Amino acid sequence: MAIDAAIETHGLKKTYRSVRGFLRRARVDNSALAGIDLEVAPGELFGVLGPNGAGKTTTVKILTTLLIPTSGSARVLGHDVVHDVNTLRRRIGFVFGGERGLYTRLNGYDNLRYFADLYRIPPDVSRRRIPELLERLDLKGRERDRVETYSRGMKQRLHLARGLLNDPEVLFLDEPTIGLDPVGARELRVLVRGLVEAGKTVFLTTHYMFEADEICDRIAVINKGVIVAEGTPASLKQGVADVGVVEFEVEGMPDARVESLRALDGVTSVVVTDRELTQVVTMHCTRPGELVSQLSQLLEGLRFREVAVREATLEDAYVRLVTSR
Amino acid sequence: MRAALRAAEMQLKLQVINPFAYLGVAIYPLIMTVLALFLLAPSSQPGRIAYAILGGGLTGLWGTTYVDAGNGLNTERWMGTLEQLMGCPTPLSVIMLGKVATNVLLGVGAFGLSIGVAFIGFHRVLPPVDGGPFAVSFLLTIVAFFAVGMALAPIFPLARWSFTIANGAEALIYILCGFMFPTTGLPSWVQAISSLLPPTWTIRALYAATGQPVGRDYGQWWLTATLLIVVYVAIAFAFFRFAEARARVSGQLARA
Amino acid sequence: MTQLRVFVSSSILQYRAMFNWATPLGYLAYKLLLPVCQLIFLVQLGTFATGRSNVLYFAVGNALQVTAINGIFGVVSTVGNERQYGTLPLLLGSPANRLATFLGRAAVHVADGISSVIIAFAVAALLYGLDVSRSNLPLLAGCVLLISVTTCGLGLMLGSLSLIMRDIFTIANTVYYLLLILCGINFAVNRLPGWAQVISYSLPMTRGVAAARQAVAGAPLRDVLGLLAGEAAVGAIYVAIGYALFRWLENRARLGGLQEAL
Repeated sequence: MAIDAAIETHGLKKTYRSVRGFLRRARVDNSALAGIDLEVAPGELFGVLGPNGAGKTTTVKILTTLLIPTSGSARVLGHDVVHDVNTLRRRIGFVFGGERGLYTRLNGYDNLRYFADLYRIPPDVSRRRIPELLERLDLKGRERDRVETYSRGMKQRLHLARGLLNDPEVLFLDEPTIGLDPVGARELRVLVRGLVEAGKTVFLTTHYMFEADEICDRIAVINKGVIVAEGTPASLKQGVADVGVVEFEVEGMPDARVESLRALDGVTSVVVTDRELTQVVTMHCTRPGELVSQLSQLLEGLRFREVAVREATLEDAYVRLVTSR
Repeated sequence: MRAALRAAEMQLKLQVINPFAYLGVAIYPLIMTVLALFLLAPSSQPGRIAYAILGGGLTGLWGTTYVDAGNGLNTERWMGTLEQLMGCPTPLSVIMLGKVATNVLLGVGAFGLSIGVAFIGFHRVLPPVDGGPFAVSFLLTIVAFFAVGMALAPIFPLARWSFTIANGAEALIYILCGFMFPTTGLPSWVQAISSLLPPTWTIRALYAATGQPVGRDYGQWWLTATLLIVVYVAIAFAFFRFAEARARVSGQLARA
Repeated sequence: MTQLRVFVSSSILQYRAMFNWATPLGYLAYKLLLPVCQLIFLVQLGTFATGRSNVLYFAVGNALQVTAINGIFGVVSTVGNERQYGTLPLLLGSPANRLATFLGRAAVHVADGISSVIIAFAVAALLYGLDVSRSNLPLLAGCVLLISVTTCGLGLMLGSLSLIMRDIFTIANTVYYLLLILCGINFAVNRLPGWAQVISYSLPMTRGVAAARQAVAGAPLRDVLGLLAGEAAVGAIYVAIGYALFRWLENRARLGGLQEAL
């Protein structure tokens, strides 16, 4: 265990217990995390990438002390997330974002001042810091307007301002750009990168592959509660460097044919996407050129077109990782 | 301390702009006062009008203290802010302290309304009160409501059906604590339950100070109430810690 | 037949949707705790104020009033939920018969309201030993049914209002509690000032409760026909207003002028 890791988890598991039925109630266990091992260095922008329901938010909630894991351990800045709660909460910030989580009938300034006091920030410090944050996050001039009049992007920036009130050493961002327009999302990513350059550690979750690729120093891909890959964006792409992608459109692809394609030597995955009248088949393989030359033979009797060969991207790596388990 | 004061200020701001808050502070106590006045005003015992006037005020005070306090937590959950509150260094119990304090103060305003409607609508006033005992009993009643409200509020973030129970339990508290009629008329097993609630004793003292025939054992009533208040406050803080821990296990903080 | 199916499935769905968060305890609290506690409180208050001999008067009035829990809150929640959960545009975009859907929102609450009244009567009989040996029970049952329907009519009107008003529950609560004063539940309507009596007779329940009291006293149907007809008329007017408002809102929404509702 590295003693100076900003965040570390060992065998982190979380099972939610829910109840089904009304009179005859059956207990159902849902495993959200099935054993997560992570380590984030100080000053790193660490991204957790995964589809909906993969366990990203559960991980963040455990690390921000809002959830107690079923088993395993986690430490942030050396503090145990279950027991050292009071000390830890002062040193971290978290942003879940979205339309909720703000007092929308009050103005932005009131929201910030309230949380400043709840985070026990001395009044002289908050008096200086709140205007600074409003300026930095482009909310200056709107702080006296009710939050319900803010745009989606403004609300997200207000969330971020609230998360930065206590000048946290580690900031947790759960899908910070979701629902934002491309310009707003890009601006937020620049802001987040700026925070890391100023020395903060940022733990970010997203299901946008390009976002993780663009700003994260390291990424962990999570699916169904386990980490399926971890590394820098470059190293993850390296995992698909020897893989090419052959893509074509076909009218009606029988399952037996798909299976026969999967069984071919050098083919690592075959994904079929339904369109209205056709299907798009995406094949990851080690020798795309060879495969293309055999296509007419392999697809005899089928009508196919628009065959394309390209290099694998991080998106392909991600899709392969989350669909192959 | 500062956090509690800020929470109190926020609660005031949130209540002032919330039309539903006026229901608890003004509309509902007014309706209950008017209803009780219609029933009690023609009574052959004119002093009983106190039960209508003070009783109406008590329904307002209890409503704002307990229902709004508990609902306050549910509202925070619905707004998505409960997680933010749980995740900050200030304990939730301290935040609730501020919020409930504001609610209690707003609830005291209900008394003014009930006195006003009795005078304007029915030309009736409170019977002469024994000043000292009345003031002490009134203050103790506020503290008693505060203690019970704080003790019961943590149920709300634990269970989503708690709002329904709170609504139903309001009238139950009116019965048990003798808001609008003395508890001495209730079955003995019910009175036994009543005696475990601090407002029962303070309200009895309050009505005694208006001349109602319920005895004059102020000392005993105040002492009993004070002891119970201490117990409820201790329960409140313990319950908050438990509720917070349970919420962290179940993850029910965010679900609306 | 299709309309009937829409009607029935719509109402059952609404009821289930309202309670998909509920545990048996929560549902019990809704069905039992609130109406019973309110009943006991008001019967105790009424008999404290006017004497034990009037227990039947307060028990009957307050047992009937509990149907408004379902008629007002149940119906307003059902309609209001469409807006809160954003399913209103989906509803308005569907080809289902509007009236059937609209009335379906209330149908299950009529049944629920009747069951609440039965429970309240049962509790009152148990606690206070009510003597109904002289009562015209079939007529009383008819009054209960009618009051449940007309209260739902009021609920439907409030429900339609909820589509454009954010804080409808403040109004719904106010109306619910005002019924205790205005509808002859706890004291005779003629004790109210003249202007208040006008409001009383514009509300559902007032005539129905009066008819029900006569039924409890053993009166035959012909003695209360006028009251029942008046009660039905009031209920129908509220349904008509609510439906007209609902259709008007639908048109406004389609013309693009109703951000509040959608």
